[in-house]
Amino acid sequence: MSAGRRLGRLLGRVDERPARMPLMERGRFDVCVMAILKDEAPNMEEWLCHHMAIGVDHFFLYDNGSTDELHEVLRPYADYGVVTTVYFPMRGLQRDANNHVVRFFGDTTEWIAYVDIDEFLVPENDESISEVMARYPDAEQVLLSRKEFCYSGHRTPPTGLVTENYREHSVQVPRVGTSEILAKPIIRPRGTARVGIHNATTVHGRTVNTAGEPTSERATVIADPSYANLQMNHYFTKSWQEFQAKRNRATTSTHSFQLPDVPFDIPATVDHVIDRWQPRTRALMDEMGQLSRSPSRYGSKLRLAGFPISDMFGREAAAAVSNEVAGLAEASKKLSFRPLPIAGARGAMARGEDYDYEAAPGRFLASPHLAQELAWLQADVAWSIAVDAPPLEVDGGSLDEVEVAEEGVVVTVRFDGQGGSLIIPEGGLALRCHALAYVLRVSAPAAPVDVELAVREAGGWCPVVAYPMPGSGTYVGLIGLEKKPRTIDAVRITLDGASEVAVYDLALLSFG
Amino acid sequence: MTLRRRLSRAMNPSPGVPTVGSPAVDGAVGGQRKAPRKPPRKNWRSRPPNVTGRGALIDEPGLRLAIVCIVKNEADYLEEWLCFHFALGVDHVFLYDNGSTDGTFELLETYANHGLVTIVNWPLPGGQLGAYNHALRFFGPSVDWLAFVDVDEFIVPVKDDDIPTILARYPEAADLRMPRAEFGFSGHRTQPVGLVIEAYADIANTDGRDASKGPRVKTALQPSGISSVDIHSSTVADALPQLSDGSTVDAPRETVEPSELMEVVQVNHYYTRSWEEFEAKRFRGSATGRLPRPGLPFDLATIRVDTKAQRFAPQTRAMMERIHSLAPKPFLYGSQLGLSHFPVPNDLGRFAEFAIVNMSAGFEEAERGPAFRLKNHYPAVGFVGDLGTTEYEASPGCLSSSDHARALADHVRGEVCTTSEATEVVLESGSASLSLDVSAPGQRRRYALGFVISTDAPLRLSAQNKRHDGSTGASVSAELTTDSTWAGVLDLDERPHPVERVDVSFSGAGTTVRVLDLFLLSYG
Repeated sequence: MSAGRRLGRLLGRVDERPARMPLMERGRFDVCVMAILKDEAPNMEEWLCHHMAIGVDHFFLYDNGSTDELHEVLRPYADYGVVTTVYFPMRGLQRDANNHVVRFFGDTTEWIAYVDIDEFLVPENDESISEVMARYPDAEQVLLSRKEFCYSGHRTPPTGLVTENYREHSVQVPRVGTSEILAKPIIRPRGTARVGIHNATTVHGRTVNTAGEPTSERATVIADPSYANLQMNHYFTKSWQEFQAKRNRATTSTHSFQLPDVPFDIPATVDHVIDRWQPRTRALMDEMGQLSRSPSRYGSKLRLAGFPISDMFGREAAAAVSNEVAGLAEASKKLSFRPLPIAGARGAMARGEDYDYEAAPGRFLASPHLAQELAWLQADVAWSIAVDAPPLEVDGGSLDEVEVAEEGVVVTVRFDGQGGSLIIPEGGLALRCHALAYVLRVSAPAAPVDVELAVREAGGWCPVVAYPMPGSGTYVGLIGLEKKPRTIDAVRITLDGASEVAVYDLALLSFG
Repeated sequence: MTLRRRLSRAMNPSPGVPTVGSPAVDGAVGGQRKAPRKPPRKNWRSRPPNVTGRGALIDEPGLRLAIVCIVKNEADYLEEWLCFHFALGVDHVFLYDNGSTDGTFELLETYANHGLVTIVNWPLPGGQLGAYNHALRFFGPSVDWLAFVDVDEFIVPVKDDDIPTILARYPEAADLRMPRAEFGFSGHRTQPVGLVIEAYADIANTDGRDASKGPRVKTALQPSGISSVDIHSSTVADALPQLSDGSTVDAPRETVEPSELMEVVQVNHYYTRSWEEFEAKRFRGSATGRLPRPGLPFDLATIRVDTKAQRFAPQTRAMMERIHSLAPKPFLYGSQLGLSHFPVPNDLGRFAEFAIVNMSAGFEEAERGPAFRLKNHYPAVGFVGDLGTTEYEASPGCLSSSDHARALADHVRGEVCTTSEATEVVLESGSASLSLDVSAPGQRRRYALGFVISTDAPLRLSAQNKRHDGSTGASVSAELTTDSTWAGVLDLDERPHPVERVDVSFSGAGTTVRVLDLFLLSYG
């Protein structure tokens, strides 16, 4: 137990959290994908989103010395917890990386699929990859049969998605005149002794094909191809131009040989199994594009239960609030005092009267403390009462504007009964985290005031945080509304027990 | 050990033996004389038995202690810091890179390729906490202990000689809260030459901390008992996973306070280093995304002088030399990885087969594939083929001087470093020996022995490394089972060593051995 937490227990202000399990024993991924890649930046988005669409939990990407903008493209995926990129400079030994991922990441996941950037896993039916893998409860390795897609009539690189542009596959690819189907493995790390490129050596030899039938685990060329349940589309050639360039490039594998040529007019079969996933892939590409370039915390899309929140929002908010209330002239990372305990919320709040704080309209928003917080979060002010467009709405009361000499306008709300709500009719950008900054002078005939913050999501109100204000007074607060990016269109602040509220500052911050 | 590992052990008390067929030679067509132009592509692999017959790779033990660290543009300091810790028994470093642009990757290539460092790309600004918990979650199951320190922090044993000895004292500790010692400028205005651990010895109050609060701490933890980790602390799990019979799994749960550790271990924090370096560092963003750091006066009072780290300077230098003597781009990953086993593919043998077969097929130029299949008589890493089954007439130097040997060397990113003249060896009382000197004896390299030999009776060929420090490597031997001409390439060592010479000995029932070709191939 950390000293701070022990102190918190002594002071009785640690909320009753559920007991904590060791982090590494708390759930794990179902299916992860491993790929080793070099200079594949333009192809990453579709590939990642397609596999996210079929339900892949996490990607382990081994960067074999890319010199393109790979890391720029991967940034949102890395920051939100979708990919883990390992810099793996070994030349030419894909197998070393394949084994590295088993040894170092194998315990985090039930299955690891080895999928190159030109390969796409495609469930045959409308079920996610983890549902497909649940069909093989005893298998240690599932060998997929690859479908080799060819030019599909494209001499030059077409625009749009690879999976939409190339529809034709042929058993004569990659070697004309043969009909060899190459295997790719999905392995259960628990039962894997070592991994090659096209197959792995399992501990008990339980290798099956996708139909669930036992098959030889030593075959690179699969003897009994099966496309039941799950197939792998390999976009081997893409367009004629791209294939000629690929033939002259070294690969990451040791037994790289000059690729044989594939004639442009090779007879081919059309395959539409991937079609059902394309709308989901496009939707995910849109969603990833909408996310903030730089989130404030790691892992909001990490599909692991119980991953610690791991950001310093609460700490930074405590510094901003306490230093503002204490009247510090410059931002500091140190706290002037400990703000009020607000169990269950990320953020900080202090009562101005306790520290001789004089509220003035716009003072908090213009302070260096909030500016530092905005800079640190890379946050935008999505709505503020100073701009007041669209105007603040009130539920259960009436709204007055009271001019304060030289300083601006204070909005005063009188509630008819005991309490009511302020509604910010604005949510900012789609898919962001939000925080509320406020300076409110609350009058409450009977303390305390119960505060509930709620957001409107897809038309419905959804409460996010509730905490008390101990009684009448001026409250300076900075409260986070959610841990993961959301799309909201309004925020409601319910003050139960308040008769009047003077709004000196109120702003909605949105950040990644 | 993780729950899953424990569960699996319980369910499979003895790790199962993989049910693969006979090693090495499945699918080989011995004695095929035709030389089709197209190389057959089915199943070239030969499986060395030293890696089959084992359990799951994730259960391979060996990584006792790893360090987790997040860096941005620390190339100047990384080398000493890494080597200090490797010299003191750290097995692996998980390095999260927060967007370095200063040659950190180039510097780390040797470390990464030899399996000492795993570099994770971590672009998130201020992502230190996320990185730490990522490491706890993703790498926790791989190692027994994780220590979370920065590049300016060195874990210094106070009375022991290495860090694992310290950890062994606390088997029940989940969280070892190591006290930190804060070092000041120690009189250096500019960056001194030499090691940081030698240049700075003055302890000073660099963080304005109240001395009565005790030192700041850094944590070393056993991941199986920890539920989350913070920059200076971690949270010991207060619930443990249950097995199906309702019993809970045991995990270390104790916290060892810094006051108990004062006489055992300290973390030397070289926060300022020299005045110039500190002034530059102050305005750089930190991994926690905070404000510029406050300045410090150069004449900061020295509280006391602490030279505990200095006794490890020779070890640190020796480790730096050791790393420098490794090939930056080895052929195989992980030669310094402390795991008991990491799969070793027999690529050397495969490429040797290409070379020997294509030579005996009479090809002038190397091919990436064998002209025909030749039975591999060597069960470990390498290849030995019986040229008597081909029509090839071996001549002196036929392999080492050919394009095929050059291609083999290229494939394994090595070079043919020593060749011996063709010679006849007389077997006196059944044995004889030769030796080959290595051309660059100070460098740590792996070596393979290539040979073409005619024998008049079954023969055993053995080879052994003689190392720089007088020790010897393991003896490897190949059985040449018939009177014939044999060609082969044998891997001499699993890991790179500073080899001085290689002794080759022959023993058998015959009288003479015609050594047509004998050479050493050095590779990383």
